[in-house]
Amino acid sequence: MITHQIYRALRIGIVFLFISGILAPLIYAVWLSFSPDSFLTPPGNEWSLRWYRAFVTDDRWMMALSRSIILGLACACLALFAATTLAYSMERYHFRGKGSLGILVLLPLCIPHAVLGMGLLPLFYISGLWGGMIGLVLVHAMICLPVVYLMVRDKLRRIDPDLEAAARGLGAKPSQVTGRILLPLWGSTLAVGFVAAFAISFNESMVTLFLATPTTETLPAIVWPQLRYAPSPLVAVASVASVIVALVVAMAFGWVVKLVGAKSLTKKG
Amino acid sequence: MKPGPYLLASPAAGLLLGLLICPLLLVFRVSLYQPANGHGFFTPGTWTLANHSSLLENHGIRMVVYTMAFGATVATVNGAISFVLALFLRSLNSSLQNVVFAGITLPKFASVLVILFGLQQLLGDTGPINRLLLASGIITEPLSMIRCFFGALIGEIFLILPYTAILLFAQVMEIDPLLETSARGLGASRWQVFRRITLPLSLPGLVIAFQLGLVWGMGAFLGPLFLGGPENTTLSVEIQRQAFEYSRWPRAAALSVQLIFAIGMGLSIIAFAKSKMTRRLVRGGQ
Amino acid sequence: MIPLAQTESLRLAGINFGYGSGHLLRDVSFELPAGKLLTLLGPSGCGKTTLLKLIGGYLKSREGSIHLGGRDVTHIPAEDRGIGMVFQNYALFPHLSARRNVSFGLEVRGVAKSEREQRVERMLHLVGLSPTESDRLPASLSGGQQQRVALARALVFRPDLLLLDEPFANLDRQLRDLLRDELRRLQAETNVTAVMVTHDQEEAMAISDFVGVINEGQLLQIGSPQELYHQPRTPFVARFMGAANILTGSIPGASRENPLMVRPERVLLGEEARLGCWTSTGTVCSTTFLGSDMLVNIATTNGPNLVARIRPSDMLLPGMVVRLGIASDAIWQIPGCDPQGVCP
Repeated sequence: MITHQIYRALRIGIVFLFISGILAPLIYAVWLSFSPDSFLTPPGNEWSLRWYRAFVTDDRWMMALSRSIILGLACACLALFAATTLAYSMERYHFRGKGSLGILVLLPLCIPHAVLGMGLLPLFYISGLWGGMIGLVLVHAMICLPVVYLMVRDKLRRIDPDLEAAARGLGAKPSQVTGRILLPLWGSTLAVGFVAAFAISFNESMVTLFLATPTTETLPAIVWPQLRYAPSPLVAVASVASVIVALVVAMAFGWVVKLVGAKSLTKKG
Repeated sequence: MKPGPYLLASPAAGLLLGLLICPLLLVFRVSLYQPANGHGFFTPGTWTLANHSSLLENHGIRMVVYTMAFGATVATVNGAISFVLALFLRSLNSSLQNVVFAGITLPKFASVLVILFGLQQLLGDTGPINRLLLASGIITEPLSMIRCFFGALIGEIFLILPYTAILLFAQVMEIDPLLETSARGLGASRWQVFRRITLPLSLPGLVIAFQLGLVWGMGAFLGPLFLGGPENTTLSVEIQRQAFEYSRWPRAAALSVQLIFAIGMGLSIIAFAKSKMTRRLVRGGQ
Repeated sequence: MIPLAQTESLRLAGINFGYGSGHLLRDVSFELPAGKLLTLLGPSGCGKTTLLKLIGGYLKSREGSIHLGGRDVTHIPAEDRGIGMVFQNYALFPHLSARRNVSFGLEVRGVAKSEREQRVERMLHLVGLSPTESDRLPASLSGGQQQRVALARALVFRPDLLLLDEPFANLDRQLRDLLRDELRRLQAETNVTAVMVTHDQEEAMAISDFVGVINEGQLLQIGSPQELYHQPRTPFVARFMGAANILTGSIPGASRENPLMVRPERVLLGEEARLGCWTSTGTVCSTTFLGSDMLVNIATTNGPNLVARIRPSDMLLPGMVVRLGIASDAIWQIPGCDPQGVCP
């Protein structure tokens, strides 16, 4: 019995060590953001919001932050739409070219972002997408596509196709089948997919680095040079801000999903 | 009217063809242009192999080899840690599992740059780890943990590990614990159970984790750039430098093509090794 | 085409179906009168579920036509056919309560709320679901209750036709017998035409007005259970409807091309053997105890092995020598071969 308890304590200890290890950089960055002076030393007795004030009052940072949020939301919508429709066609139909499409959709995972950026440079240069947000939205959606696709397809695979057939047999039009059966069952995973796409886009820095212009400057695009050449607590603040935004979006979605789910269960007749 | 499969697949297919395949083809084409003469980033309408000439130089070959070695190291270390972690996670109860999952996922909501920034500060010469070690008298000189191979490796693993750990966890959770129990019942030792049951059944996930580690490790840019030393220049770092610091797009594109080929080679080696290994594990060496 | 009656409800003509070059169904045609229950019987993978899904409109056939109550529904999608279907795994909507599952078909048809509730209540009562059970989610109902919900859901909008895909496959035996009788009662009460699919011949005979035997995508025979049992048209049907002696020689008239069938219960043993037009002696090889009766395998001296059904009290043991005979009216000349071209 005693050895059992020791093992249990040991396990919890290992979990704790592991978690603190993996979270250490993040926590340390947050800690640094409260530094009272311009050096990157963690605040001892004196914590300060000085850098937060500087961040909020700087138009350039705020513009970049709002651009990042808009970009993330737009990208998540597009990626979710593309991934959902693709997952449905891949799971519910047989068609010519299905196999190649299945490989193609995973390809973005295998292409280093530096290579992708290098290809997008001339593409944007030639096609005139340069300097516009639309190009960035499209690229981010493409980058998120495999992850969102794998998530939503995995769930769809576990939804019995006979449920849709049953609904049709009971007289439901395709739109009713989608709205009353498919989406309620698939919805929570779609929401998770949306959040994942937002988080990926919001924090994407590599392609942003290749394609950023002053008119499309996102958060990572400002953090980048600062981090490379002159790290300051302001970078730490920007990091904290990005984490908070991503978490807020995730929680808001979780809340919406819970609400909708509860409503569909309690609704009668 | 019910939309057909092609219509449904078209948004995704459009994104992939337009923003993935098209840029990749452009990379190939740009790598064959002559460099710019005066204005622009390349000379349109020209064909040359000169941009690939770096492959003939010692420096160029070393960079390709280094990139592959870095990718292999990342894949191996990361795969091993992920596998151990996944097996450890499996032995925990579900509430502890959730704690670990939350811990793994949380950093993914933060920008990659935040993690690297934190690591940079933590591991730096004047960072808390070095100060602690110095104060305790274990070392007299600060350990250089960044601006070196170790730093680049740590950085990349921090970025990749959450994905591969979750992937491998899903794989080992599919193994029926009864299989291991019954193997023990048949008289197998713990090591034999691991070697003959757990490992073969985890192999598909392990291979994918290794492949992901290799692809992302070879494409590594941020880790080597922020936490590696000047000698840790991977192809990705060099691509960015050529494209932006020297505005030599054809050269950068040529390096991209080399990187794609290197990754393709790495993946084929894994595929080959996998078929060999599967055969050995299925037939069972003595 | 095999006509069954005057007031046809369902008529299939020349149905062909297959993916690519493979044929899952070949030239299936039959008619079913209104208010009757037809069971499609066949081994797994024979195409019977495919046929059911074609009738329901979930799949589209390459050739042939489907008429429902005189209306051509061949090109009408499932949602407009007005056919109720009970799926093998019931396909209950997991996020809706049992009651809302039942009312779904009325909701999407835009039936007014008061009428809807009334009809749902009546139907739930008819299948025997209590109000507390009706408010639960399908996952918290037992298999039998889920089956009742599925039935109620398929019947509540008064379909012209009810389709049932192996409705009793996931239930234990006792419950299966109970629900089988209930299905029969419900079908009679609602007077709905029904087509059921099963691989269990006992179930098919117990419940159906008509049975159709399918093998390898072909409808081999369709008729009353008695007809199929006593007058099978091919050796496959003969065997699938129950234990059968298929004789290809040694008895006058039997040959490879013209096999004869004798059911085990029509094989005469002992004293009665004298009454047969064909008699022989044989040695008991093995016996199989079935409870109410017993099957014995007998090697005859001048012919094939025969299986006979006897009362357990007859006490035949392996090694015993018995006289046996077959009366002329017990012999059925099987008129056709199985379509695969292989005769026994």
